[in-house]
Amino acid sequence: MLSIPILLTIAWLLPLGSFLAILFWAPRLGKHGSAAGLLATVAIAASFVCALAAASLWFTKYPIPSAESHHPPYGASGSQPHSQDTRLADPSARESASAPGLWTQGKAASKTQGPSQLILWNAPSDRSGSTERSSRPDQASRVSPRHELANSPTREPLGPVPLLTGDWYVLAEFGHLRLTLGYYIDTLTILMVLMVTLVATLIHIYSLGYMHEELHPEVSDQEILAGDPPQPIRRPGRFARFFQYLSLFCFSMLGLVLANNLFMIFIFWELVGICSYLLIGFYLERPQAVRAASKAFIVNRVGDFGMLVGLAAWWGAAGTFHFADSPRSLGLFSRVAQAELDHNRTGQVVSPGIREQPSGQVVNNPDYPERPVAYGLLVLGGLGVFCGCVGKSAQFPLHVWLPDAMEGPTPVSALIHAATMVAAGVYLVGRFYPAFPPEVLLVVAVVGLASLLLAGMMALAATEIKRVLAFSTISQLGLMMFALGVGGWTAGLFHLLTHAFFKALLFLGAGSVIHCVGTGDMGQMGGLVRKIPWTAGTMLVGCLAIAGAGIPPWVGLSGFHSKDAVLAQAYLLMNYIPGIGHLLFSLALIGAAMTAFYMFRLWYLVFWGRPRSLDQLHHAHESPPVMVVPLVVLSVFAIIAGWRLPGLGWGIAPALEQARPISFISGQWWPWWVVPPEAESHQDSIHVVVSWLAFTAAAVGFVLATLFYGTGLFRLPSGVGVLNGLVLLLQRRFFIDELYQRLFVAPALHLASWAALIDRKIIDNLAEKLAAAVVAVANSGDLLDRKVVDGSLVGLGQGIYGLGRQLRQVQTGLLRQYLLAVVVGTIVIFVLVQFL
Amino acid sequence: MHFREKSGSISPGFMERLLAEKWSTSSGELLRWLEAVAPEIALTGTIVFFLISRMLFPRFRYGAHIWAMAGAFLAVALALGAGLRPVGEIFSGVLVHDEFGRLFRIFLLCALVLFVVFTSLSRIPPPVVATEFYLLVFGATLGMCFMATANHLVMVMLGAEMASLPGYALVGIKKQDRLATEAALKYAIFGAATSGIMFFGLSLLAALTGAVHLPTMTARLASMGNELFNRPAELSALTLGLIFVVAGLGFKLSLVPFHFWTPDVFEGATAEVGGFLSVASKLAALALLTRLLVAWGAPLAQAEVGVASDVSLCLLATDPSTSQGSPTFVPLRPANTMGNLLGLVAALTCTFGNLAAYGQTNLKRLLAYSTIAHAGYLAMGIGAAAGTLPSFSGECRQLLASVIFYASVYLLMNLGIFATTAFLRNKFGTEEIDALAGGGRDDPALLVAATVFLFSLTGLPPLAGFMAKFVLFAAMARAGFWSLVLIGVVNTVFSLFYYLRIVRVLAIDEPRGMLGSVADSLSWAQRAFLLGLAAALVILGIWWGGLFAVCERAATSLLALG
Repeated sequence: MLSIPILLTIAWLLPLGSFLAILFWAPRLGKHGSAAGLLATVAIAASFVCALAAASLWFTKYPIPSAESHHPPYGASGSQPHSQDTRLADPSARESASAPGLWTQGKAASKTQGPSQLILWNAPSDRSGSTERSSRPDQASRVSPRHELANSPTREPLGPVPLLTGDWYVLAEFGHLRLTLGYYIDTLTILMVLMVTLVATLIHIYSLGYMHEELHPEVSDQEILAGDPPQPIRRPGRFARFFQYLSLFCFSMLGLVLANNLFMIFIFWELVGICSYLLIGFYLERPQAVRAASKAFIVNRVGDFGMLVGLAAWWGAAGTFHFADSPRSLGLFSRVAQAELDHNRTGQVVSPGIREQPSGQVVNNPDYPERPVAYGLLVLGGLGVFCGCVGKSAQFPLHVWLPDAMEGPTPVSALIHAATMVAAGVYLVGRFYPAFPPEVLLVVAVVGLASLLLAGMMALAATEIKRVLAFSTISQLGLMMFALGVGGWTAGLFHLLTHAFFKALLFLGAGSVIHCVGTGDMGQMGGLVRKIPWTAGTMLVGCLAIAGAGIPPWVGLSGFHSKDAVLAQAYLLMNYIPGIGHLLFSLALIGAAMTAFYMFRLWYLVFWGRPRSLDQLHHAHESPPVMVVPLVVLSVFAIIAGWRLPGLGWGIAPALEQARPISFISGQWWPWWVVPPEAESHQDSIHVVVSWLAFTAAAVGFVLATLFYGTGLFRLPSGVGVLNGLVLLLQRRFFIDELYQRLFVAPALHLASWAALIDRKIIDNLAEKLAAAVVAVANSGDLLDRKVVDGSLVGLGQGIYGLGRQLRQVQTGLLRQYLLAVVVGTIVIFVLVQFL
Repeated sequence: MHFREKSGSISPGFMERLLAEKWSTSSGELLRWLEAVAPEIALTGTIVFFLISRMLFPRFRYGAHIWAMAGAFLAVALALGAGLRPVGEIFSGVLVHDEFGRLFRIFLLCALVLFVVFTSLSRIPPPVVATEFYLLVFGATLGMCFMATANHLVMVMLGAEMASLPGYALVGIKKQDRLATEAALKYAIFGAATSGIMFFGLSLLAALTGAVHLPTMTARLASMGNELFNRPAELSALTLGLIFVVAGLGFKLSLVPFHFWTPDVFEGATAEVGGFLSVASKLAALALLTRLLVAWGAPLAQAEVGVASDVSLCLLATDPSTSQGSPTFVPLRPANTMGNLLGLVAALTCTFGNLAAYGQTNLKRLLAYSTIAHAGYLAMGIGAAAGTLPSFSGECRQLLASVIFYASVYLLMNLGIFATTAFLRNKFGTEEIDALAGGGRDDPALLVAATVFLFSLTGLPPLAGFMAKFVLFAAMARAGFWSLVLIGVVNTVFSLFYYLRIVRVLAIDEPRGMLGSVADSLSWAQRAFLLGLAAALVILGIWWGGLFAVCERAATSLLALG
């Protein structure tokens, strides 16, 4: 009955229902909309329950392989099927590992291979959900070359990637182009929906407390003073509207996650954008909030321009909007995979990990014989889509909107940073991973690393609690992008999911702090640990999780496992591409160290030491339970999200492995750039080393932070010109905003003012002249109309009217004449019939 | 042609047959017959109930409209329950329940329901005469139902008289009103004269064919065939009979030149009675006329007689076979000539009605002319259908279906505009158009509804009136009656002037001084009634396909093509 697609559809539509209900009946929902919050919360909680049900169905149907023997867990040591040395030494293994050209299908390298995907296509017409079938029986034969290669004795045949896809509704059909709303459900979708609904539910609950002020009919906003003498501006409370937007936000994000085609992705991508605009500008009386909202929106437009180009390019390359194969045609992924397969089949292995320049020939797809997949279009599409992701995920150089977005209410920041907006960018890179050529992945990695380092540095000097967190988000998202770029698909998305928990925790904690103290300036805090112990404790958990604390190489908080996986992938890169690999790995390590430093700097500044403002401390009080409980729940998840169920070996990472898509390994243009297979990074030889290195980096950051901010033993020497300059540089965010202001905004404004001038002086003038001419023509036409046309018409009308009046005379009112008319009429008709 | 008559022998008299079959009919069949006429029985029961209650309970008259509503709803429910399933001939062939007759019966009973609701809202009749009023209305409706399903000349006569006689009394129900009394007298005398003409025509036809059962007459006419044309005397008698029948029914439809009673009677009668006469009475007459023309015209149309082609046979139809002017013999089809003549009469009626409506100062009188004009549109369709009779291709069927559809739409919009008139009269105490200036300004619901009715009567999209005209003209164009289409379109333009004049007077003109003094605003129920009718017109204007499909089925059953 309740199949997985239906459950997820319900989970998706519930927030929409809540949005519509609040939209239409807000005035009736309790006093000042108090019931609206409850409605939205219940809706998203019900969504979570549906998602949970769907997930349990999913994992019952497609259990996570309990691959203790094949999967070395990230923490505990497992068996070691292939060390790097054996891989290099064993020629058969080397060949099989490299020759397919695609690091296909999940699992470890030990069990690579299999048909690309088993597509379970649910046609929109038969809704039973039980009609899953492999849509393309010929697919196995099509991919057989890889399959054979994979059948070396050490490899087990791999099961297909479970996937449910189908269309709900066909919006329009133009020739080959079908615009549909549909679902694409694999393990990644399931996990994302679970994460989004869970985090969003907790944030909704938290908001019930945090936004309590909005329940009053009149709210005075202390941030803006107006009038003479200056007084806080007063405005009506907007409790219902806040939850209305939150519901729309969740609906949009879930739609994005469920989407099965580029068109739907774009719709929900933009919906997410508009929701962030609405929520960042929630305090619309504050000019800085409005500016921040506009900035977020406009910067995202820059990214979305690239996104549109990218989607168009992919459409041009694949001829379809759908990712997955449908009964009608091959999907984008299959077409790309086939192109890559055909291209790599002609390549040769010359040395381990390095592939020869392929011929570049692309074999025609049998379904579109006239349209081979053009590699250039793939690269262009990948770059364009990544450009959109850069905007959404606030990566360098489009990161400028995110720090300003702190103007929105704190729960919104938490939602944007953890579950919805910025996560969308990383999710999309993960979703389109099969279609990203290696050239694009390199760009992804570089941009991610740049964001990691730059944002980390900016965070070092930030003084506002939410800004620090904002920079840390950019930095962590950079780490995810970096992971995806160097081939760590599982690692990057794993970090996305764990990050969602501890970043939501940190933001909600920061909100709690602001709620207690009334300001976000860390200069006025300090020593709050006694006043607000729950907040302090949960924030400490968040800091430990994001820093990656743990006991290497076994167990740690969630961030420990995910960050470990990312760094392991970077470490693996050193083996494949020495030089660049070493550089990237060490930069990533520095980023990890910085993360620990600025997070603990934040914690110490807020909670430790001596209070810097007694006034603020005096007022401080712990937040209400409705806000603390989500913090506690989130901190529990922040601790355990990276673990595996003992015995079963279930966890987020192995679950993600289940959904690993086929992806490129080497490109046509830069063949030296090889994406290392992630499975190799799971080997213990790498894992142990990396976990110790990561731990050391985090520890260095932690110790430095403790020395400078925790104990007060060291202080930054003030008055040193170089240092002051550096701090200023960091606090002004490398002057990137100013640069953009000079480079783009000011010229645009100048251009606009010039255009306005031209419009007013020249075009308006011309238009007025033209209008006068038209009026003159119209006047003469009017004269003609009135004299000639109307005259004749009036004449006709009067004629008819006169005729009518004449006819009236017939009606004399005399019965005698009437009857005479009957008789005469009958006779006339008879005569007519008879003699005609 | 498919005949329902089982034997071709000369049928005995109606009573003999009924008596003969009474004993041979199983009780099951009798029950089936009674079941088929259950709505008529309900009407009769209501009439009897009224008569008895009035006698036994003097205060009964105050609740008469409630009981009338109950009876009307029961009747329509029974009719709808019986649906459109054809039953065939019942009561030994006196009545025929095909889809056509049953559809018209549903229309008539719906009109009755709407009328009863309308009168109970407009507080006419006064309680003193309420019982009698509804009694007459129910009696007239009963007759009209028989007209719609008549299959026998006796039922034709009975039905026509039962429908007419209560009408005369209804017109004069305000007996202290001099104008009403005069109107009733005129109506009665005029009606008597035309009934006489019609019955004379019927007897001529019965004498010629030797039958009174319609299918039998059809069969006789068909078997006479071409030999009929060799006997000019009989042919003349036949033509005369047909014309007399058309004249009798033309009186009810108020076709030119049998229309003279209409303006006088409508002006004298109350708007309620005017609405009833203009809707129910016309629908019944239309059904009967259509049935008779098909029954008699089809066999005549099949018979062909050679006539030199230099005689212009087709007055209005542009038939390529006759317009070539070759000296050879071409088929002469008297039925087609009749149809063309009817079309000519209809065109005259339409034009006359529309033009004469111009100078009217009284709203009811204006609506009387509008009624004449609409009867013209309907008759154009019937004339065209008769003109295409022998061709059983889709044309005739389409024409008949569009006429039926037009009739159903006309029912709604005409009743609506008469209801508006009655409510305006209640509110302002006048029916003079000039005195109603600005009368709709303070009541948007009334104004919107009135505008919808008038636009629909004009035939402006997207209202049902437009669709009705459109399908009618389209069917006529497809059958080749371009001249009729042209006349219809020109008439539509004519009608725009006087219909929009009412809208202008109600909405735009400055109110005269005295208007506000007697203003008694409409009740919510009255507004709801008007808006409901208007909404039905809007909905039918958009989703008209379903009703039209039903009309097409009815037309098919009448032509026995099913």
